[in-house]
Amino acid sequence: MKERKRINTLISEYFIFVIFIALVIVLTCLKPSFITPSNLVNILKQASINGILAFGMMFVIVAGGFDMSVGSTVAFAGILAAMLGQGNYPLIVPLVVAMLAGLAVGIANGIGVAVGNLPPFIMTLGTMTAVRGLALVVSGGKPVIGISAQYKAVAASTFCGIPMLAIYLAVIIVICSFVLAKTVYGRRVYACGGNLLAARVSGINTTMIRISTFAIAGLLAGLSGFLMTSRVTIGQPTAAESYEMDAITACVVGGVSMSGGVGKPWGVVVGCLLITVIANGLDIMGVSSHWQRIVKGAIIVLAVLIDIKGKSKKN
Amino acid sequence: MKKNKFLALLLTCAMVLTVLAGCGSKDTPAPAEESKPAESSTYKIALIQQHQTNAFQIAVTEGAQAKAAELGVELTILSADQDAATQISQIEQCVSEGYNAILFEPVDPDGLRDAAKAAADAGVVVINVVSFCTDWENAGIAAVSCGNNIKAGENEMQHVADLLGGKGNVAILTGPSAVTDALDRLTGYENILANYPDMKQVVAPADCQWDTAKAQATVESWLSAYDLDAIVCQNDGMAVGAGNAAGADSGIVITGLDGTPDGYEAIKDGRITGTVAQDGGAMAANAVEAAVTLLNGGSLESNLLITDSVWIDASNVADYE
Amino acid sequence: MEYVLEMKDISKTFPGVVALDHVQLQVRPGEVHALMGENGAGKSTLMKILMGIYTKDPGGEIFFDGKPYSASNPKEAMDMGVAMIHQELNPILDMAVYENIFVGREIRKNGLVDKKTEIEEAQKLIEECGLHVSPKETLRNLTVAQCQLIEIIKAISVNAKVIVMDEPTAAITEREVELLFEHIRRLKEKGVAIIYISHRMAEIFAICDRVSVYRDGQYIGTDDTANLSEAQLIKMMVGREITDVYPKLNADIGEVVFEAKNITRADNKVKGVSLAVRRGEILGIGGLVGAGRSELVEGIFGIHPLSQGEIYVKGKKVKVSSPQDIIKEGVALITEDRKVTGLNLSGTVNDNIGMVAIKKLLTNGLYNKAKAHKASQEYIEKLNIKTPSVNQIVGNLSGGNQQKVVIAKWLLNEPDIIILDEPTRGIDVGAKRDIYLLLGNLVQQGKAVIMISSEIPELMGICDRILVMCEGNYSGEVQREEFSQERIMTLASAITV
Repeated sequence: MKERKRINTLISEYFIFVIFIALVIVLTCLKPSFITPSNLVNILKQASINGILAFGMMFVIVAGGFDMSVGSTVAFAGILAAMLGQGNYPLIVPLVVAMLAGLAVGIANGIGVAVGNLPPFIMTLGTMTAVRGLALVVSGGKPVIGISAQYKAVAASTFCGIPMLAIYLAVIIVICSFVLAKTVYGRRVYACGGNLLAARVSGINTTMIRISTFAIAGLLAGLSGFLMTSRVTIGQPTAAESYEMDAITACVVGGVSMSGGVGKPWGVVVGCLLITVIANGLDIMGVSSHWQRIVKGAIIVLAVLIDIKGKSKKN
Repeated sequence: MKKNKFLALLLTCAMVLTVLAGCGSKDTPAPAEESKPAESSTYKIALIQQHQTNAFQIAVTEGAQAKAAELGVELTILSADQDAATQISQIEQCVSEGYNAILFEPVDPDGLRDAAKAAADAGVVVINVVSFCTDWENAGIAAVSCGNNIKAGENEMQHVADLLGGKGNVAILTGPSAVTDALDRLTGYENILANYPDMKQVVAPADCQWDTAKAQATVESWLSAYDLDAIVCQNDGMAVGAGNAAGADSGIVITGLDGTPDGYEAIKDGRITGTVAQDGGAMAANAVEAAVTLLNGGSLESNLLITDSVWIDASNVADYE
Repeated sequence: MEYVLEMKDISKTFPGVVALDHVQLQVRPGEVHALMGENGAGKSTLMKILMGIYTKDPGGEIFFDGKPYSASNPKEAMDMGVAMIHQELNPILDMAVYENIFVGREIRKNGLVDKKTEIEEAQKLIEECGLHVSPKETLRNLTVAQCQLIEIIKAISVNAKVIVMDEPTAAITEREVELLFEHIRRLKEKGVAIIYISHRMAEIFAICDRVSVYRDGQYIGTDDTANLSEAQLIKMMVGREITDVYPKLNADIGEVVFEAKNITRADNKVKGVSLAVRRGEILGIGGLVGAGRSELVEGIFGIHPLSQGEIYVKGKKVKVSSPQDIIKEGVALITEDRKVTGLNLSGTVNDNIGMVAIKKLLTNGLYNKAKAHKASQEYIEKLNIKTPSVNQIVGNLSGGNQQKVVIAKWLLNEPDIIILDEPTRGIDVGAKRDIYLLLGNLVQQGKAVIMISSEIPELMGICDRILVMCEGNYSGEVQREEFSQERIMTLASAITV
């Protein structure tokens, strides 16, 4: 009896994972080529950039914020990386510049929100628009071509059959999970999102914590921009449109509370895989793009609904 | 109090920046000089683009600038940033500032009609570039200088059919489904496919929003489930994505449309097979020329100026860069 | 060194308000020092200056341990040895107990959080406090009282020399108050000084050594508790004599207007409780925290589903599946936590008063601003709500006045049965008295009142009958003639089989 109860608790805790597995099984039955190794590799590649963005987003949301600007930041950082990645400099230069550009946007967001007391939605909506403009100005509106073969290999190469992109994502997941779960800083991020006032009277420098979460999101968006350029082999000022929404969706589907203070890293991983698998599965089945949107929307809402119902049963 | 002053200062800075940015985007001398009475021989022409965020639109800008310099007319270039309301007010503004001719690519074929008519009624020469308003002849629009998206689509698909020998599995990547350009190009594809019963579409056309990354993900997924002989894309950006997914010299015919630098690069290294170029620069140049002809009291042979599309592949790509 | 903490000549001006006007405070090591005064007297402001949340106006001085002291944020204050339990509960609901206890001063090992030690330490602290919760439990799953105890544990575990307790007992009952007092005594023995802020007279006399009184931002005086009587203390606080703390107005008790039979909640937090109340009667509901009192009235009101039970209003059986069903029948519930379930804190007084009975403020189906203003004005006068205007933001009012706004919002709907859950929690003597008189007036008008309170003297003071609950069950009832503290406590702690 007790054993069964324990299993029930376990299932309800990890319900979104159960939903994910169910979806994989359904897709495999509908289209067996879904489960082929080459397609699994595809899924890993396709999940990686959104995954990295989702982890940055997770820091912001857990600390009680919200970041609309990451898509634009990816494009801006990607353009800079493409311009510097033509083979004239060692690869570290475009990487560092892209990440610094992302960091700068993130810090600007953080200062606006934590010091200027602007609502995160407004502040990051502003940077979203402005940074997209910056990307267009810097690139002159044209795609930036001519990146070096070495730079292209950053995303295209594999290690033991696993795409490097997936390995970068794995590294980011490990670092972020560690920071959130084990460090004092991580604990304080949760505290800020859980109850900002309480965190402040407990002696936490909430301003710095909130700025830093936006900075992390920006930094990871910069990294994503660098990888994005390598993956698509060009720097595009219009790239990564609405990527912030995919990142937010991955977080929310993965159980990160929009009101802050709640969320587990593995949930974000599952959330991110879930939306990638939906898109990949529908592509494989040849579902028309118009229907894909309807199905994607429905699956996301249903998954979260079932998750909430599954959890409330426990109590 | 201090804070308010600081904010006011910030706001002022932002406004100054706006003014500077506004001047920068103009091709004409500073406004102070503009206020002098224009010499009778110098026409003031405005070009209002849909947006300025891709290589094709930049080519339009550059084509117009080159022609204007050649003909010695004063050209102002504006961008409507894909917003119909912005474009309408820009047209109204140009009319009240006394421009002699307004060239524009309508953000919305129906929504811009009235604004165009009002401008024409005020005595301004109005010409559509790249695409045109619904029933443009009755909206006072003097001429249209454009490519033809249906024909460009036909051109692209015809080359694909020739390369495949009229037989094979074909997949199509489209731009946003509700956009006229994308619909016309698709019509062109279908016109050709109708002649080749052995060319089959094995998956529904995917709407990849003109986006390289989306196209790349979709094609990666497709390739693990379908055996494709050709991937026909409605712009070069998506063709590059498809090319990245398939890899260089994949044996799959991958084609794009527009003829932009990213496409050329991919043609050179064998990721994509070829592209059909719409000559945006020529369209703009023709439009400027037509405007000057009309302003000088001349007449046009035809008020529909069509710029032909050209097929570009590894053999001739070097000529277009 | 006579004083561990000395605050001299402290002033604090907010735009348009002098919150503190050259006040002082001297605290000896190892004493429990009460700060008394009505809301707005300046106690909280003084403590916020001490904690570095506010900066004092230039001029005054603070000495701590004989040395000049200044803190610019709570962290600095804590580092110097001053901790505070805030009046507003500040739990991080989605965090575990141990995480809450150590938030802001996490135990580290190799630069990382040492979760294991934190849990062990938390376990020790919880046990010392006589609380029975797992340190890994999430605060969301605890009761308000348990959360408050966690806050207290958090403050005393800082090893401070001075601990400020602002209304530490607002949400806990007698048993837990006893545990808290034991703790305070232990801390005293160690030489820790406690600054104790409370509106509960009995506690002041039970635990405090000395009292400093403030009124309207002015320092009134300091004296040993032993030298003072309750009446003297009240006089110092309010500046005039209040003879009866619990005024009881006479009302004619009529027929039964409200009856709830065999109420059992779907989550089993309330099991088979019945109650009935008559016109003109004030029925008290007593019991320890966790006895299911709030749960009972929330069940009756349709906020939580019932598995069993019947509800009769004015003799008519009412099927309650949501609060609307019972509000329609003329029942009002003034909930326990006014900030969470009672008020729109960022709305104006006017907005809040019109929230329930908005239909009364319509003209031809549209909101009539003039009508709303008039109605709000009427209740502001009737309930003696101290607000500069009907357009004041409710969040800026004092606790007592906020509570009155909640009551006003329900009264505008003209209910016949009014249920109040801890209506006087955290509000000052004057405002409490206003509320007692108001309840008296209501029953005089033939309405019926049900009131939940954790303060037994309050229940005994103004109720006609007290129903006592224990562990979700009906435990017994006491009539006014038979009221005694022991009787009620016995019922409240009765172990039912």
